[in-house]
Amino acid sequence: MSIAVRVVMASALFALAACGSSSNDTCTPRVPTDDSVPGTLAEWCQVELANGEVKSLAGDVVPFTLTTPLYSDGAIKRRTVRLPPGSAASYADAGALGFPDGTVFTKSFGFREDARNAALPIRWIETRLEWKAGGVWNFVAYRWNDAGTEAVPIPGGEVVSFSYVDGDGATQAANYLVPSKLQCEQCHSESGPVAPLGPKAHWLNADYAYESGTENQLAHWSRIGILTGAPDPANAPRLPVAADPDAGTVEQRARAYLEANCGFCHNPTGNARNSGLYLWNSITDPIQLGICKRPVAAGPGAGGRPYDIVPGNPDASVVIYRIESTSPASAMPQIGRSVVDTHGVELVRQWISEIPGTCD
Amino acid sequence: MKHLFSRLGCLLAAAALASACGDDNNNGGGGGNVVNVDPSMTESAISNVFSSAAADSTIQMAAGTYHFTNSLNLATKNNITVKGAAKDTTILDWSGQLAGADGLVQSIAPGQTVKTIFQDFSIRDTIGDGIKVTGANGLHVVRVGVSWPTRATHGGYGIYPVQSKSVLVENCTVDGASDTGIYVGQSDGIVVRNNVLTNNVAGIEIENSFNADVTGNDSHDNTVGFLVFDLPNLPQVGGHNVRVYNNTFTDNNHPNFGDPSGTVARVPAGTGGAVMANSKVEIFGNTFSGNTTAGFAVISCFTGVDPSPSGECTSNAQYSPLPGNIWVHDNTFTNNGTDPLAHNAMGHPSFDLAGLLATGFPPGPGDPGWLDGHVADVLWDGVVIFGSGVNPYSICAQNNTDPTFHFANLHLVSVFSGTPLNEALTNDQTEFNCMPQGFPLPAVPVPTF
Repeated sequence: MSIAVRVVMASALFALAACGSSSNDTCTPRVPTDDSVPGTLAEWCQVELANGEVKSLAGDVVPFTLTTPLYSDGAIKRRTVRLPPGSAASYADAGALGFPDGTVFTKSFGFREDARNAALPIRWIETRLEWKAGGVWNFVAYRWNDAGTEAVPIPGGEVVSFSYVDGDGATQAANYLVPSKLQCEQCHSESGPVAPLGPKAHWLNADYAYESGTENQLAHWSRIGILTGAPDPANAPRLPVAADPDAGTVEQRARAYLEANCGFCHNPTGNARNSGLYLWNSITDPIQLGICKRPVAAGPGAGGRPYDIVPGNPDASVVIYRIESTSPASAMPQIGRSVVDTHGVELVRQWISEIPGTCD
Repeated sequence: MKHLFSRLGCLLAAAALASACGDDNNNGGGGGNVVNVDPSMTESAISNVFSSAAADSTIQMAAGTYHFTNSLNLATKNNITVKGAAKDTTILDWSGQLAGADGLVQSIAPGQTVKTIFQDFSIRDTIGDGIKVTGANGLHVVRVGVSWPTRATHGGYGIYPVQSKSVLVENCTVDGASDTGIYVGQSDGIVVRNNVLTNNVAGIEIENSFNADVTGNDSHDNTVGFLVFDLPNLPQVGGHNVRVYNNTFTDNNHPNFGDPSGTVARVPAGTGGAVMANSKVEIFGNTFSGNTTAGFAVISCFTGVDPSPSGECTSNAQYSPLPGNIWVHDNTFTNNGTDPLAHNAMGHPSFDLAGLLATGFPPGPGDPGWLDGHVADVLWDGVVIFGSGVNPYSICAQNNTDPTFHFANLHLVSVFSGTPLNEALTNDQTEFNCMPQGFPLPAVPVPTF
């Protein structure tokens, strides 16, 4: 059996920069009415790569961003959504917005060989598709070829090993995971049935620089008719940009970071519900948040540390051990991260160091 | 070159899909639709077979060794049977694991009714757990082996069903788990039978679970043979109705190599078995032999987790930190408790409990707990925080067959309040020669599909 891992030197990975493919102005969106998977990304007629960027293939494809995203080995991400013509999502203060059947999300993941140099091309690894059919969300990742001209589905997933230089100039060796279809579902079953994780009011409530000008995303979606029932953005919930020191207190930003990066499993209905450690921003019980809570069934994953969070002592906290680990045995999140998010770790460290009290 | 690999992967994936569609007539195992997998396929193609399998399918894994770098995931697929040729011939090898915390993973959202069968293969060298299943409603793990022959650091759990209902684990072997060989957590309706557990920290653990039968197992050369524990601050607490019967727990003297933060790390090496904070536990017909710290212990959360009266053990009103209604009867105890500190190095978390067990029993004649050359066979920590009388929680031992059988009440609550243990210790067998109300416990129906 051949192992589906290719250890690729950075030079080889980035040598073949994504070249632009010709856009097809006449393509017609093809959205499956079930979980069947079109053989190429182009058949969806939603996004392509052009000049090293993700380009929308139709006017009703809406790019968007999130205030605090999931960290994925430092990948650059581009997100789009398209709803069926004439339809709209229903607003919700909490949880994913209510999207209609036929809604398609894309999320593309890429890297620059040196993240400090914005002039370098982005090497796009994959574009993940999420679409709703018959009331059920479906998932598959499309793997880009080296030329960036074609992406084909890879429902079994793949580990792609390469190195890049991060924004701080450190060389990072990634065992980047293109998730299998069922690994997509593993994280996306936050509250029971699989569903989108990012497009919630509190992550979308921020400005986006559209071609037509900068506008709040909730306001924009309402204005173009793909969202109904949304309040004025000032009255909608918002979680801060964790990476922006001016966006909130350390606690607010750390809690936003933990919800985005841990909360999809660590909540009362998620896959880590058995742990009793819940990291949604809405959780207030200190024990549920991990403060002076012993790890349970973590085995070696606890790193010998006594509590998930020890007030004032990040180095004694299991949470820090797990987000600083790159071993799949102990790293959190369990899938999709093989590089340490140093800035995220620093924020959570700072929050823990400011929590008063002791456990003993 | 990479491009070629991509194409090849696609072709193989397509071939796998084709074979998935073409084998409908080859019926066998649980699901009617049989999908064949063999070791010549790429990992991605095999993972795609798992992704693409229809409900009610059997994924038949031919004999041979499969090398995986990523977890194999079943998500919420219903009624899938993953079936090898035989436990010793179909080998799933994760020694090169790069992604995913465990080997075979199934995480099922609450409220979904998903059944799964794993049978007839072995898992080797996962970086974390061998099989982890969350939220099944019907899970059979049959003739599965889990071990870590080439990894320096072993995964935590061999077979780990959690928050599941109707769980059957039988005729499996787990060797070397750094926490527990077979660990059933927060589940209901459990049968763990006829398994062999060796060189794990704990052989078998039933944790925060309801209605479990543990029988016919051979758990030897672990740190501790079995645990029935109820831990605080978990979504399901109040473990009860657990029967442990007709097992052998022999020579469980392996040095404790559990992560120091884990509960099992506090269990002294040389323990045949222990119950913590559960109610309604029946231990009978077992053979406890050669466990050098103690045959069997019944303890509270204060002894096993946190001695503080205002700490974790009392932080959740739904959680009872005390054991109650424990009936230990008709077991054979041989040669246990002969050297209670032999395997418990000073500085290891397990030393605290081992020291408590041992310091009350200095090996000298006349000390109440040390009789006939060994620690008492059944120990109760004696922590009483409400109730009155000698035995308010019905901790009972009857008709155990060792002629030198002893029951000891450690009165640890006195130790916590400053009274030296060896003054407080008594050996009140009469008061503990009883059967709690409502016993014997009912059998757990064997889960069927």
